[in-house]
Amino acid sequence: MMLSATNSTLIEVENLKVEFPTKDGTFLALSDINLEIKKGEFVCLLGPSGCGKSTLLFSIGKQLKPTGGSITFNKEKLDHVSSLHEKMCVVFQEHALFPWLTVEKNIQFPLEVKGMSKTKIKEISEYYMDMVGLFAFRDRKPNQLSGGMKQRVGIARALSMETEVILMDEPFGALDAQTRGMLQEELIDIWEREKRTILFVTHGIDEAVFLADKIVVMSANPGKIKDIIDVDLGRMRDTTSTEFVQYEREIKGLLHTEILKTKQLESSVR
Amino acid sequence: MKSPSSTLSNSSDVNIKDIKLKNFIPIKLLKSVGIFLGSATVLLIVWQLAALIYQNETLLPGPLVVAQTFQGMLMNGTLIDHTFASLGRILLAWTLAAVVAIPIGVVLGTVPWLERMMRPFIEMIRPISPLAWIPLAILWFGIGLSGKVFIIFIASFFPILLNTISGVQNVNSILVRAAKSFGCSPIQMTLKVVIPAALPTITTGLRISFGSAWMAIIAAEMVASQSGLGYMIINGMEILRSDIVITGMVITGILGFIFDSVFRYTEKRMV
Repeated sequence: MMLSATNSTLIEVENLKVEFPTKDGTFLALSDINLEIKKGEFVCLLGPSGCGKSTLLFSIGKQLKPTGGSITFNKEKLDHVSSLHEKMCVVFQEHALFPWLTVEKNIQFPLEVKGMSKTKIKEISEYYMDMVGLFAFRDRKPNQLSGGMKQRVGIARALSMETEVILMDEPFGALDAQTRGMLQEELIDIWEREKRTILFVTHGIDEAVFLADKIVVMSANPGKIKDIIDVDLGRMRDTTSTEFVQYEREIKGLLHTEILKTKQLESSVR
Repeated sequence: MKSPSSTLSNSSDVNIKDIKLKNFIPIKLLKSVGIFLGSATVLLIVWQLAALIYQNETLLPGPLVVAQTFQGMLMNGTLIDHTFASLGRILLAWTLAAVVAIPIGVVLGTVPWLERMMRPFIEMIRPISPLAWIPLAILWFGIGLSGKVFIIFIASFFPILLNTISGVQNVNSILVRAAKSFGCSPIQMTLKVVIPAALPTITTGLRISFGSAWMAIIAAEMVASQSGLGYMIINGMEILRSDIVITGMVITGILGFIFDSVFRYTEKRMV
């Protein structure tokens, strides 16, 4: 049902500015951020550490308060959107599973908070446990799972909330390359089936080119959007194809000047 | 769907040849039990030698005499009666302390300004030995059950309170953020996230407080009681029976060790 509405704007960020108080004044984490995210889009926020990509993600998720500018969801100001947790969910960098609950209970947690009926909770959690291939592990505790499995539980838990938007903060950052590659493919698979809107923070260029419809390349000091690149490749992308490599090269070039700039800044401070 | 469980959770199809005998005998446990028995034997020998040299059974009875007294008191039921008298008081007062201290600890751990306000008072009352409360306890409550319950309550309250506060304050913030993103209300947050996450630390507090309660009850019973292990010890002194005094001390030590082990085991299972 969301397919028909694919091209309409879902989230709009205008002139966003985020400052953090520090010992000596304020730190400008983000400035002049303008971004439009369409329904069903897979958007990657890419940049070096300290460019404010997670800050942008959590501003959109309303987990932190911007200093200026505006964010709208479905043309409505974020402050006025009621029960945002029914529209957006978060997958955290460190899985954030409750260690005292089993896989199944972890996935059911948000549904119980919502006050859903027992049978409905069971039905939904079983569907998503099956989807991420963890049905056989439903009675395990998180410390009995591998890193990749924990992250899959985190994803299943987010999916089970059946929100329109999924915010993902470097979810595969701590995983080894093989597991990461596998989960990337699974994520695309799920996203194509479920047609959710995904906002995905990463510092991996290859990860962004593999996953995204749209890559928001960011620069640091202060955090700004350097460029927005539409990735015109089909799905199930071949990471060794010339087009894929070309995208990687282009973004590497954009980020390279960034890295040089940071280096200069650091040496001038010294 | 491919199920990887067959390789991971099913140990029944392990080749029988791979199972060596040493996997079934807890060598580590045997080792530590062996070491314990060894050092206990040395201690008993030293004690027996000292008793033989000192030659005064009234003041320093040897381990054999104490073992006889122990057996006798166990058989005629007095040891068990005194033990249960002490245990009953402890369980009542310690449970009461937990019921009061845990909710207060959760509130203080959650509300920083309240904790800052109360902290000096807690830190000032805490170092006062529970034994210093005995005179007031007798004046206020008399020498009945309530006076002793009051002493044990004081002894158990602070370890539980302080551990609950720090357990609540140190809940992994990412769990709180995750729960918030699920739309948890403050009450749901406390009941479903904060308390379960703090439970291992709270259990440590319960263990420590049981230990200090166990120490305090003996002292309290020495001053004002007609039963209990503390009474048994002080009574042994009054009738010049050091063997009874030592029997009381030994049973106190053994039971204290057993309770502590049970708590530690529970703690380990929780983490």
